[in-house]
Amino acid sequence: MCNDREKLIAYLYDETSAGERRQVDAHLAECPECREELRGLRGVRQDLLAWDVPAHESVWKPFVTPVATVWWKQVPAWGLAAAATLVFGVGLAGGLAARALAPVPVVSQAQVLPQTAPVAVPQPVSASPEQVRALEARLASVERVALTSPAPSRGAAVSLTRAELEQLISDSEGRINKRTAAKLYSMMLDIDKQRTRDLITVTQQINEAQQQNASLMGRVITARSTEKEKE
Amino acid sequence: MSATPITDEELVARAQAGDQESFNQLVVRWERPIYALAYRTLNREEDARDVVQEAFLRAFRGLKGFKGEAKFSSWLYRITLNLCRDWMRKARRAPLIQVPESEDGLDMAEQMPSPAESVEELVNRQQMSAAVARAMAELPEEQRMAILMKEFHGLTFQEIADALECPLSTVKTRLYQGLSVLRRRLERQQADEASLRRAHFESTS
Repeated sequence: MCNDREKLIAYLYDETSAGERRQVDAHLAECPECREELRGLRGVRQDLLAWDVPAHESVWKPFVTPVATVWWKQVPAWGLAAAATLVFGVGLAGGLAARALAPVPVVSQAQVLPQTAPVAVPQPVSASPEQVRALEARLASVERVALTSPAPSRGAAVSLTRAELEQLISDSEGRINKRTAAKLYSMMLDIDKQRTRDLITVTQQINEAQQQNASLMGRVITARSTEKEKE
Repeated sequence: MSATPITDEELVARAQAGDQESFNQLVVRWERPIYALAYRTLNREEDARDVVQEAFLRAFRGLKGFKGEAKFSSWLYRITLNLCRDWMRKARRAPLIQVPESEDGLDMAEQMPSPAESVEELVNRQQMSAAVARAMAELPEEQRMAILMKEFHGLTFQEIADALECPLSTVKTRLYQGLSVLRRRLERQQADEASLRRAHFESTS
């Protein structure tokens, strides 16, 4: 078991069968090395929890399901007006021409009276002024809907009460103050650490210099005493 | 009475049938974990954002081909990890050791100070976060990715094996080796910190 790290890892993450778990439990009860190993691995897992991720705005632009565009919305207003006038004009001319060219019907009273079957007179294919007006009214209503649609979200944003707004501002200020304090404190710790490191380096260098000095002094003293002996 | 939340599988099926709103919902559900994985792998916010965007685009393009053999999240993790690997190869470097954003720590979302936490506690947490990020950045890529998926994304050994396309036993070995190296590094860092504090205390007292 001591060499079976896969079992220990499976035990650590609780991905074992009940049988394997009992087996590992039994081994741990009598193996201090594996107990220590497990304790260390659990400690690392605890440390890993400290690793945070910065805030970020969503990077995804959601798909917008395309709304079926009415063909006349793509035509400018002046174009619509010109088209309506043209259609009206053609219709009017057609109507007048049909009336001028049609033979004058000679009808007797008898043909006219009640039983007369309605005669289907071919109508010129054109829009009547009423139809054009109806079309314009429909266009106007579509545009009104399009213009007024963002309004609900604006209304929702304004619905915050003054107290809620003040609370939000206060919370935000509190967080900013704490973050600023944390930044200052963190900088202070860094400065302290660097100062301590510098202090350790300087102390080491002084010690080395003193040792060199001492050995140099020793050599000088030895040299002098040798000279005195020679004299 | 609360409605049963729609499962990933249902959303995937709807998205495959052409419902783009369902794909949007999958993005909302998975963007944060995917960003966290990319950020912890690359250690740079800007690169993590690019990778996340590309990962979802690839997922969208490849959705028709997703047959559901693995979970949607495992599939998404695999796309993200492959993109991270590509990024690291292109950039010809390992994740940044200096951990630029987290070193400062003050822009951390989850490090936002809570009212009950003192400034000292907050700073300790930030420093620990930076130490973990540094130690993780020094691990070999395969060990780092296995640890990321196990510790931060709660994947099972099998799901990690699927995402990394390696045998189950390899996943366990990588986890063991990675955690052991991390343990030694973090313990050494903590010992260094402690000796520095002692020296500082002695120099000021």
